[in-house]
Amino acid sequence: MAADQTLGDLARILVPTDFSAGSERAWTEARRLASRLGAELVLVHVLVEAPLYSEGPFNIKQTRGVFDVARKWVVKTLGDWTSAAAAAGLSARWVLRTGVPYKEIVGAATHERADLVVMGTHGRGGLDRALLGSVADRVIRLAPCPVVTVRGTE
Amino acid sequence: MATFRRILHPTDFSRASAPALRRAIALAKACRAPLALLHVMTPPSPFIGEGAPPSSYLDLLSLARRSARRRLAAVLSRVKRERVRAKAIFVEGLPASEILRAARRTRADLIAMGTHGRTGVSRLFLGSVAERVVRESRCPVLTVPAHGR
Repeated sequence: MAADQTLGDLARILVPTDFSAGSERAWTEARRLASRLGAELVLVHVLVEAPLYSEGPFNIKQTRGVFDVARKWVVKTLGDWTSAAAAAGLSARWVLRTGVPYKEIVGAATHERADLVVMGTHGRGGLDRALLGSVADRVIRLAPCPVVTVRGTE
Repeated sequence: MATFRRILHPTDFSRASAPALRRAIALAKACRAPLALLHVMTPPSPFIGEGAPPSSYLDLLSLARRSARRRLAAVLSRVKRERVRAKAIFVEGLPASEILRAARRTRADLIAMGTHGRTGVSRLFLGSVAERVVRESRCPVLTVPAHGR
């Protein structure tokens, strides 16, 4: 459908993912929305790199090796998700950032001039279902744009 | 491809609700979905001061109801002017519980609501109503900050 004036400002949807089941549901929801609104999808993942310790069972080189493997998997998976969306006729790309998840998500929303963030309420961190995921909670409060939260399955 | 079929917009008539209403209208148009406008009135506290006759509480209550219904009707006609199918729902109770209940009852697949985004330190607190709705809602929740966009 043609984008009219009221929709012209919903041009870009940012979708943070940690590849959890919850964020997969958010991605599905975002794809539906993007398809309806003709918006571009920007999939973003935040790599969390623990400090590199030189002591203990792992040395820096080994720790670095683990991060490299993780990064490769992330890059491949981001590519897979966006290619699948592109194959379905959507405009989609991915962004990889490193740091504290909620800060990087808010930063990416600002930098990419996202008009909407679509994310799961619960990602990989935290087990307590009674609590709103701390990442989603902070993003809702600090994002420069509206946020759609999608709850994980029952 | 279908997106949202039934959108619920809870409003407390505050300025914090206005950007969320605009978004809800835009989405309702885009999805050709009907919009349910909900206002949850929390009855005024019965403790209105010593010596006040009991009838004055009932007066206050009916005044509050009349005023809330009138404001809800104003929002409804504003939405209808935008040619969006809409209905108004007026209930009394605790906002978060009633919003969740109304979402289930109307089988809403999106709740579009404002957050009381204040500035300064209180910006760090998501409104308690929005927080509970985001946490417990079965359907996606669109939260729209009060500060524009």
